[in-house]
Amino acid sequence: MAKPHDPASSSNPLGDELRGGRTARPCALVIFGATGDLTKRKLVPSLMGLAKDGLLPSGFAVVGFARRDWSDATFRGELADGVRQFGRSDTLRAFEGLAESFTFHQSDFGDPAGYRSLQQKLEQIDRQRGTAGNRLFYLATPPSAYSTILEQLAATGLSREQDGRFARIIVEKPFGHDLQTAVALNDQVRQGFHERQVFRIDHYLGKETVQNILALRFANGIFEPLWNEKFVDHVQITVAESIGVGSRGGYFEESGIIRDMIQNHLMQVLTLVAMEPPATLSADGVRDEKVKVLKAIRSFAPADVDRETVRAQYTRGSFGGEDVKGYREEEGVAEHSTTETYAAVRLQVENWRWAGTPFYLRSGKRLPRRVTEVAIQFKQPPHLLFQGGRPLQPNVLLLRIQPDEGVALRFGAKVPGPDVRIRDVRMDFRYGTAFGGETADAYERLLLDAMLGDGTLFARRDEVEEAWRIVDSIVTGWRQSRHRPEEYVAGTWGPAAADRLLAGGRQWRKP
Amino acid sequence: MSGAASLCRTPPRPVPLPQVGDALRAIWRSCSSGAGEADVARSLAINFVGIAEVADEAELRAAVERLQHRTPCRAFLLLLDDREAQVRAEVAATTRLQGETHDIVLEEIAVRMPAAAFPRLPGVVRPLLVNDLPSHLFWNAPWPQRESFLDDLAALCDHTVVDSRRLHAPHTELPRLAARRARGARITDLGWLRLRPWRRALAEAFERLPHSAGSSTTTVIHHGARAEAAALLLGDWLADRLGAAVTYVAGPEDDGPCPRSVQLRAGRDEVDLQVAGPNLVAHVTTAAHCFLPYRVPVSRGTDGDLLAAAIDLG
Repeated sequence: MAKPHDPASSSNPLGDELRGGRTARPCALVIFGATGDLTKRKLVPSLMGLAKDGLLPSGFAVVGFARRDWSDATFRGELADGVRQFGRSDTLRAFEGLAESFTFHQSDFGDPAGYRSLQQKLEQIDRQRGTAGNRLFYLATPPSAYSTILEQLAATGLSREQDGRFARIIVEKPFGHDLQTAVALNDQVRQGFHERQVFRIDHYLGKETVQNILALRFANGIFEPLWNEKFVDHVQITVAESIGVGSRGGYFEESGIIRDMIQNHLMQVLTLVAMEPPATLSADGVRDEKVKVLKAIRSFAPADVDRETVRAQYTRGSFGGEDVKGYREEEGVAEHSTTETYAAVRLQVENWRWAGTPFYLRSGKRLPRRVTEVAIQFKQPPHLLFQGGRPLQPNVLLLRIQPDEGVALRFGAKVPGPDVRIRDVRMDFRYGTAFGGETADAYERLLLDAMLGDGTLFARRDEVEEAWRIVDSIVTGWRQSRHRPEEYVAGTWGPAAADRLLAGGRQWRKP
Repeated sequence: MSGAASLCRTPPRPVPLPQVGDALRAIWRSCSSGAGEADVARSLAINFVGIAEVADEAELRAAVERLQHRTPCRAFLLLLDDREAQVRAEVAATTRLQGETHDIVLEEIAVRMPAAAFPRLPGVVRPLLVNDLPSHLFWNAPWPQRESFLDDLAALCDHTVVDSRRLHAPHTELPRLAARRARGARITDLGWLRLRPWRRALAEAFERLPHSAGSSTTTVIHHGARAEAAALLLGDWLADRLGAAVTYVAGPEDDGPCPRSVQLRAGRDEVDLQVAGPNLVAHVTTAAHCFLPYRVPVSRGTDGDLLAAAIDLG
């Protein structure tokens, strides 16, 4: 292959115009499984969001790699449809301007000839479109195809970086089904790619409000001094969904809420809330601190799991005025299924900062609202002067991740009048109001970061494996437990049994 | 960020200058009383002081309209109009309604006055700036004959935005702007931000062609009647970065505030950048390659979007 001009070199005398604004370097993006929903609903609309904002390099092309016998025109038509339906405003125009940069490559994932011809196609694209030999591979296939694709990329040398050209791979969750399969997947990735070339996507980390956790903590002087076991009574992290499993019953039976949500999204949010300040905001600076949080959480002994966790399934109920099925009545769900649709876990981060302060993680389907939030509940003042010494409502700092993204602080204020009466009031910051305008999808940020080679918002191998270690210990305990999952009526905030996790007068929030 | 929001604007209400503060408080009260059980909040993020000639009022208002979508503000619209015999003010507000919440996202104080009243302006604005919020001055008027006018308003603010396309004599006035910056003033020029697609497209060209320092580079910039300042800014940049010898070719047409084309030659490599509809189209040719042309949108939004971006930068 002829050596293309190296864009990373400092020979571009105008290069700061590209890098100063976080414009990605020229590259070709190869999407494996490009005929699937993810490409149409998320990836290409997000790429066009980047194009609209001027963040895509002009030397850019997309190759869709899949088994179906599609032409370039069919592929482009499908993508245009996706951008029209799921893209931000004006992104269709961006797509129309770039449509010729999208081509389709038909091949079986396991066919070596398909990868050789892919290589030739990419070299041609380099010559025509100035993509400079840089490659970004995206595994948008079912996990069962990962192994074959990784093997072929390594065998054909497409995964090799040389002469300043990058080759990176983005892997979609789930990263394994348990610790053992996660380790096996990571080992396989490593055969072709160095860790710095690997970008494991958890789209939660691409959300502005999740990133704002770091900004809130480390860009302000007032919060961090209180952010420890001396002042914080406990932390509740909730990811609630109002929908049921719908047509995903078969998949969900294998995963349950603990694998589907807690192992990845909730653990990621937990690490951002609990981590120490990193020395720098570099990818490894941040991820080193996140991993330390996970390492400070002990695996559960099987005998402790029933005490420290609650799992449950939703039963038939009413939601939004309509009757809805119970979990075991859903399509693809076994009649005697023990898969949990709700889980609550009490975790102890055993380090200097958090010793004795529990973190409650909870996630469920068919809860009353779709909401994601982190509630930092503070301890009562040491001496209660008001209301006859009766405890007041505790102060809560609430980080709302979705919807109504923002931050709120609950505190007591004197009710006007001759009596000294205290009432809760709330100070509210709403993202949508303070920073209006259109918000980019999480995938936009993550795709851009992958093109820039910035792994800060991606899960590193050790993070994934530590999270699985904790979750595996819970799943093992449940498997050995004599108890079936609890039940909760669809449309309620979960089983009554979840209350026993919260000792000492604490209560679950009803966000 | 979530849910549909709608905007509600109060009709402008003339008020004597000393009563502007009271008039704004009356607007808050009326929003609250109309809101029933809804929460009412003022969500102002900045003070915005915009100055323009009355002929450009609609343009300034359109820019503020866009700005408040992104950055809720208390906005002073200072309109120079020599037909006015005295200083007149009116106030209005815009509320964003979203579900049960009402957010006041724009408090607008429009002040009309003859140019002779200019020295009184800082005294009008100063007591009405919201405490603890960053203040941005948008000087959207020609360069002042007395620079102290600009100085006095800029002294109230943390950051000044100018638009060099308003300059009547860019050859002499752009260096004055540069001198202010050199003295430490925080100034952002919308004219420079407007050139971002041009700079970007040229930078992309150099991703494709190898550039050796010291190679002789010539550039020809074609521009219309309103784009002299932009052409000079772009030419100066190319001269500074590439050591390019720049030739300007001015046409009489009024075809917008940006150049019409740039032809750049460095040894045997050529870059040709032309406006074609909504895009800049770049043709890059080297001795070895003729790349497919690439496009960069010539604009990424309205002047209001550009103003919001300038304020983010400031």
